[in-house]
Amino acid sequence: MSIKKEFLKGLVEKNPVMVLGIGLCPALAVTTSVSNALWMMIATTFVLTCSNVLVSLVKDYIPSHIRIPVFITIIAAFVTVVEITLKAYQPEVYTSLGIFIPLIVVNCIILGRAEEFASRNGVFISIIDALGMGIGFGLTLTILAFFRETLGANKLFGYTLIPGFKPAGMMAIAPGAFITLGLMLWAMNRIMVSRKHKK
Amino acid sequence: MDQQIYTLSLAPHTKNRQNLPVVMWLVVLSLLPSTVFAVYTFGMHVLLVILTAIFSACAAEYLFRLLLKRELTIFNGSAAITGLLLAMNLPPMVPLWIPAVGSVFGIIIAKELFGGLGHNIFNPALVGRAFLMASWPALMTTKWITFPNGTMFSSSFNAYSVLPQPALDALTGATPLAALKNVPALANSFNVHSQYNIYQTLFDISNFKALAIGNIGGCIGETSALLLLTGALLLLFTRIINWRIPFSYIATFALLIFAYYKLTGFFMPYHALVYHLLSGGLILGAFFMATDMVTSPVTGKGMLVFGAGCGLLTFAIRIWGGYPEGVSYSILLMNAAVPLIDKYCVPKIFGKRKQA
Amino acid sequence: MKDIIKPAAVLAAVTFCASLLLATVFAVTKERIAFLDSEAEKNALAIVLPGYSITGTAKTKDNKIYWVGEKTENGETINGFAFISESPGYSGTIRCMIGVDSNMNILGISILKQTETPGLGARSVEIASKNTFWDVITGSAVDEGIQFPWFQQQFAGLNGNKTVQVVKNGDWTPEMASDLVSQNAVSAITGATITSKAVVDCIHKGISEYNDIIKNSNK
Repeated sequence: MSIKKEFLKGLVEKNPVMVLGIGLCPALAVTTSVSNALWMMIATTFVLTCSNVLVSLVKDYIPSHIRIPVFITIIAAFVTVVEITLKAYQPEVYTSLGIFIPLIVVNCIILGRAEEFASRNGVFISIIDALGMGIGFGLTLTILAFFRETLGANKLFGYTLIPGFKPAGMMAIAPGAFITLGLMLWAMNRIMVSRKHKK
Repeated sequence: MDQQIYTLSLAPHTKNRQNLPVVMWLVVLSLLPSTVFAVYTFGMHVLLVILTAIFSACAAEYLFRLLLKRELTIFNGSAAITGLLLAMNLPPMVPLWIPAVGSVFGIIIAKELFGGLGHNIFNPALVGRAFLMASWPALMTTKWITFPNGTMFSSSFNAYSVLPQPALDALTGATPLAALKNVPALANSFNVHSQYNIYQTLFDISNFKALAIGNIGGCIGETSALLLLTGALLLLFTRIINWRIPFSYIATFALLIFAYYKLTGFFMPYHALVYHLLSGGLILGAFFMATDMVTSPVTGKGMLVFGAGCGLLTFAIRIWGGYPEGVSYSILLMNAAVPLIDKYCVPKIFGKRKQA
Repeated sequence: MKDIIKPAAVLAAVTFCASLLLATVFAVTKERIAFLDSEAEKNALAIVLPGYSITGTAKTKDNKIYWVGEKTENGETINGFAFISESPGYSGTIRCMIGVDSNMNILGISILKQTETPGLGARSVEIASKNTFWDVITGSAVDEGIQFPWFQQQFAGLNGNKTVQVVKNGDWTPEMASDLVSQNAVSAITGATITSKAVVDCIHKGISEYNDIIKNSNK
């Protein structure tokens, strides 16, 4: 089990959004601006790392039939920490991400990694797994948000890109997110297929 | 050894001359009267809009297929029809990049990504229009050409001079359906003592003439009811389109509209009915877009259900919706229901015993 | 018996640790959050009652708080009032703070909360900066000082006794101001007429709710 492999799998071959198809709700909802996507990446990666560490530490002491409630309690605690901290130190991020911060609790990626990886592996490698998955999730969101913010609002990080250009408003709303995500999946699958053929 | 080569094929064995390009060019021909009329009434800018839409649709299909190394299908005319239909659904004075972007989006997202002609779920021209409406609503709802001194409202306005000038301007500045939807707001903001006068102005006989002939505000290809019906007749006689969809569409819509106005106690229900039938994109949509062979059901019963669904949705959007017109969204929504309709409208198979 | 006690004990321990963690974080951030809340209230009041000093708060019969401010103009003391109103928008509730003088002229509004569509209705809180992204990364951005959201700016100076009209002139620019004020109207955000109307509704609702209270307090 190499560190590099465990880290990279979250970015490409087991990318949560693009390959596993989980975490789609925040991927569609908070990707209206790049800064939202980046903050979502930070929040999710933080919760994922902390919960993976804790789950991996306590895994031997927890009876297997109550593991899910225990995992959820751990995850919910860290999500609330993130929520309160953002409210206190980044109130603008807190308002613009809104309901999607508390909803990190039910993001399948986090419980999924706790169940599938951290409860079966050591602490160190669980951290690597969490970082890979969190960043893989966040990068997908950021790319999606980049297209949506530039095309849908003619902005990047809240600043106008080309004065006078009329942005395509549809990209800022849900259909734009679905279509962009679909095109990204198409591109990703084509790259993966052509890589397989080369091997 | 001299070997005879036979062609083996499945039934049916009869052939006629209606292959794909012939059908497509006949559709273009049937749209020609209204297109020429639109250029005549709205001016040369409309011609540019139409040509831009057609050119970008064809170019998008050509380049996309070239890039993906697929068979080039550009000469079967279907991309050209998509472009033409999209242009007919745009306000006359839109900037030229609007038809270009709409065509490219419709062709690539709605048609080519689904696998090309015959595989698309949604009518590409309507998807292009929906994209433009969602993205640039301001451009898509204000670039009308109106006839302030011309034909539509002038005579009726003089007859009912009780309306203040700003109210008249508000009526002429809109499309017929927008004007109809605005009546309560107009009565409210100009303190006209009742909506009665405004409705009488709208339902004047000269307006119905204008709606039939087409010298009235509206999208490029939707204004002239008579010319559209002429083109539709050509398609019906050559059996390119089936009568069922337009019939059930318009009949359902007419029934619901009439019932609505009658039941709500409106004082001119017959006028309202005719006004609704002749205005907006109903005729263009019912005959030329709902009947798209790829995106409509294949069975006779299915076609009737499809048309009725379109009629119901158009009625609902026009009466209760936020937009004055709902033809394109109704057809798009029913497009999505086509697989389901086809599934439940399979004809009975002959020679098969009923299951007890 | 062991099957019950052990899981219960583990769960209790985990939840206890979780609560301990949350209690700590909460205790650390409590003051900061309270400070930010009062700052937000102060900023909103400064927008809706420009130039007024807040003299106190009062409560309506329904226990809703409103603010009373005053300023001196030409030797006379005039009162200003600020209150909060809510109304359904295109998606979710819109909450506005509205400032009026005793004659029900609108002094300013501030949208405190909205969850409208990004790029359309959410532009009701957009601040129009002339700096582009390229200006910012090349460092040539100009400091434009404190700016207010352009959509909310146009409400200042309208007459709250009359209906505020919504017209579709496109996005508001300062050039439109005099024309709109004479019509007692605001120009809707392009493509977000429903949101624009919802904000106006919110203001109408608030004014009709507080109309009597404010008129009576003059006497």
